[in-house]
Amino acid sequence: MATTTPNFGWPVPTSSDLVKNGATAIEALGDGIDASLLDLKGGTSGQVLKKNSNTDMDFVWGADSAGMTNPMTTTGDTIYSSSGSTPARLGIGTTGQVLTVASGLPSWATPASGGGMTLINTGGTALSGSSVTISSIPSTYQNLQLVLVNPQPTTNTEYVLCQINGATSGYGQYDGIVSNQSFGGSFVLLTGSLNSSTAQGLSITNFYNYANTTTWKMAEVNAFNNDNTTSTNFGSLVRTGVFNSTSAISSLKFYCGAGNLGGGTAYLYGVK
Amino acid sequence: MTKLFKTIYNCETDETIVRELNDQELAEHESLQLAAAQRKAEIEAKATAQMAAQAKLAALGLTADDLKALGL
Repeated sequence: MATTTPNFGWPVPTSSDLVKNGATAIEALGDGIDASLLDLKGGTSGQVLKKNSNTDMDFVWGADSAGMTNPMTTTGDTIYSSSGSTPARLGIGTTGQVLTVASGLPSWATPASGGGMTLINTGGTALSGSSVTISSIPSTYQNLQLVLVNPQPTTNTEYVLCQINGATSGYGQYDGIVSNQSFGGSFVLLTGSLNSSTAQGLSITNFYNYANTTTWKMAEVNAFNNDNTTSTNFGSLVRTGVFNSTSAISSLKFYCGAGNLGGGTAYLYGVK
Repeated sequence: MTKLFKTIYNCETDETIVRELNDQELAEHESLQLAAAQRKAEIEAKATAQMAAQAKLAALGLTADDLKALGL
């Protein structure tokens, strides 16, 4: 009695069939195989066999669609479409680079650093002597931030003063809303009245857009210090200085109104 | 007379120079300190006047906020 193969269901004789029935069974098997492989017949040179439907053994010969030549050569390479649909290789970038677009094409680029601060005067500059000048300040940053740590004068009640680019005039300084102010000052105050015996203070001054050559310059000062009489108390200063020069800020000078600078450290940061 | 020294830090070269002021720089420094002293006197006079005004207000039972409330 004939049975069928497990996958394609072709008819085959069972082991107990009579020999005389073998020819018939083999013919049936051949016909079954022939029918199943019918779709493989035909085709022309270069064609490829593709599935025609989800039905088993249902194939069709068809043209081989043009393949893409792999342009990649190195680990990490990627492919992008260049000149329409032409595949092109984009070599892997370097560590830290990000994928960006330049002139309409993808590329790897180092991301622009933002918000970082760089100490310009290495290690800080001690505040001592008649004056301290930080010169040749590079114009490559967006802003400057000056930090005076524990500034101290040799003469009690003195302030730390600042001049820009060596100019001895052309300064103003205000708090709140003011109008019609002249540039009658000769410095910008960086601290309140200081204590010459002990120092517990910070002065932070922001010089925004310091490198531009079209506007007057500003110095936004925010400082506190211990009181010059009662050292356990404090004083503070919040004022904005204005300097009527359009030149980029390239040097800052610090000094006291009397006596010398007697202690503390100036740190000048470039801010991106 | 006590010698005066100035410190100059050069950001390009990372060099710090400490040197004595020459005669011209001494004169300039004295001039700067004179101007600073005048300005300091102005600042302190203003602060003193402000404190005196606040004391007068307090004696009347008023504060600066009261004046602001009056639009003064």
